[in-house]
Amino acid sequence: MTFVALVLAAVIVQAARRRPSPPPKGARAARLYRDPPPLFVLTWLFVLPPWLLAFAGLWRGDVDVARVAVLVGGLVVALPWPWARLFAIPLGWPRAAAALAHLAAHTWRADRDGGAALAAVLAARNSGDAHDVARARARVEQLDRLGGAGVVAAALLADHDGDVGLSARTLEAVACFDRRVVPPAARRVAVELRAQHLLARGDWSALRKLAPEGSRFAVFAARCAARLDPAGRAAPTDEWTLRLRWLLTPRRRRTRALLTRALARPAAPASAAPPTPAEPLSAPTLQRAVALQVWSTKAARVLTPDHLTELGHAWAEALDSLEQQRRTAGLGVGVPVGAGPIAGGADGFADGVVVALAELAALLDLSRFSLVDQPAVLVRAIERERTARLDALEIAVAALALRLEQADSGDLPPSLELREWLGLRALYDGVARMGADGRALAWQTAKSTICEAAVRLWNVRGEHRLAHAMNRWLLSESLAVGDERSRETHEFNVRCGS
Amino acid sequence: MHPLRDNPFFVLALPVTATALEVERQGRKWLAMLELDLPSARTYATPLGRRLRTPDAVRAAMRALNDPAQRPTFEPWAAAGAALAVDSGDGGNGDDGAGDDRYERDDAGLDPRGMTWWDR
Repeated sequence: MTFVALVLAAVIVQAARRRPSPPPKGARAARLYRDPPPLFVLTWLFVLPPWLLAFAGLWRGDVDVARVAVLVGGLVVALPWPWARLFAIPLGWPRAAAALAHLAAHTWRADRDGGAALAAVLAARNSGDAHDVARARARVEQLDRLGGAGVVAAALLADHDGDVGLSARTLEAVACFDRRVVPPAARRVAVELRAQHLLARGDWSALRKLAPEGSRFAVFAARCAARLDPAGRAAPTDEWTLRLRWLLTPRRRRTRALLTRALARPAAPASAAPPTPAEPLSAPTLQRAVALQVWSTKAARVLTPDHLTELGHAWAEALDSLEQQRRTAGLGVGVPVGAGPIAGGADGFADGVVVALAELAALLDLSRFSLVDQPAVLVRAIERERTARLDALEIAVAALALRLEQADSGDLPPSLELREWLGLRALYDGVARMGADGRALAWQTAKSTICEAAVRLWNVRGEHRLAHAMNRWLLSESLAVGDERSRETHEFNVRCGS
Repeated sequence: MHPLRDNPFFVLALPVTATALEVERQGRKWLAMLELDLPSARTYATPLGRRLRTPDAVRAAMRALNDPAQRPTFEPWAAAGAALAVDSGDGGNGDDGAGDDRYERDDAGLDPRGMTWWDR
């Protein structure tokens, strides 16, 4: 009876706190970030005395079902998150995981609903049941006060769907949220998911710089990456420290492959010589340009703007040489099949070069790349890529503006609002990376509409956390662009939410 | 159409000197082999690694090589890139479209699944 009463009391208290009434319009944001009352203290006060009594009874040898139930139930109610971590999530029980996470007020703090959604997603991924995943997705989409845990849940779902790009972008957005609404447990899952993405890509350079946020796996992965990254081996982790780290990391059987890979690399610093293509410079111009193009495409990971410039010059030379041959050959009269652009297809061939160069330019950060003195074919490729990206950004901004005009009927669930903002950010970053003036161009295109969306989320819908994250991003961008007038507006908006 | 990755000469495995008749014959051969799902027809070699050969790609390649305006734009790429084409079964950057369902892993990466406490 005692146990039942205790569980009921805990459930009633927790349920009473489950849906906090929305704060009044204009309320100071400090309210939003305030931790819930220390319910776990209350829970312990209720649970501890009968738990001790039951324990004492069992210690004396009076074993009965009620005492065992109080002992186990007390542990579940008082320490719900460890139970979720140890049982519900690994065994793939989404409902139990969500219920336990919801009880864990001290773990999820200001984002308990988000924590429950995150736990449900983690368990659903492990259950392998499509219905469980669909239910977890619905839970994430129904979150009405999106906080850091909810955002990490959305990132996990995107990762589960195979959309690693969206998942990575969603994780990047976590940094824009106020840390008070991103519980440490959510931060740890976020950093571990990020580490997984980087491990899969073999991006050792980014992995070794990852802030571990208290995750043992992230610390171990970063140490391994420091040995595996040629640029990071100036201060590598020695073999025994790495082994110790591995022993301290969960899932040792699975992480052994990473340890073996890291140990196989000598800890000595690698030579810092940049990679260069092996093609001899004396090769005919076209052959050389194609060889350079092939090398650059294969070595996209280590490609730099300087490589792109070199490739642009190679293509400019090749195109000049082909043009010369075309003129010499008398514009295609009696030229056999296989003579290529000599036979009159020079424009089409140059278009192909632009396509190939634009593909490489799209992979690089050219935000500090001056187009002055660059070969014409490279400038054409970069402008082509930038125009395409700018068009996409303008369309997306226009669509958002239209939705905002439709007021209530255009509103989306917060998780989809987040996804739309992330999509816009990706398009924005795409334009910002294309040429020195790309960021200013993107800013002028997008700033008003994104600001309007953030204001609506704050004023009308009460989605203060997401709106605050958007305002923080807008402020950082206005600073990066040097837009003083916007900076003042966004500083004010950010102060409202701090 | 990417001039190296989707080059019609690579898709049809033809030299740049191929005549219209050879293009037609080779295209039909690949379509028939794909219809029979023969392993040797599934991929083609390019300088950027092996790519999946599909009936649509074969038809597009036949169209491009029979078009006098398009064909010359691909010839120099094919001529210069033929020597660089990767012929081995698993060449390139894992560019053959096969493999992992969740992560696009390159040669340097590891399968990270199951390495965290929450990922079984």
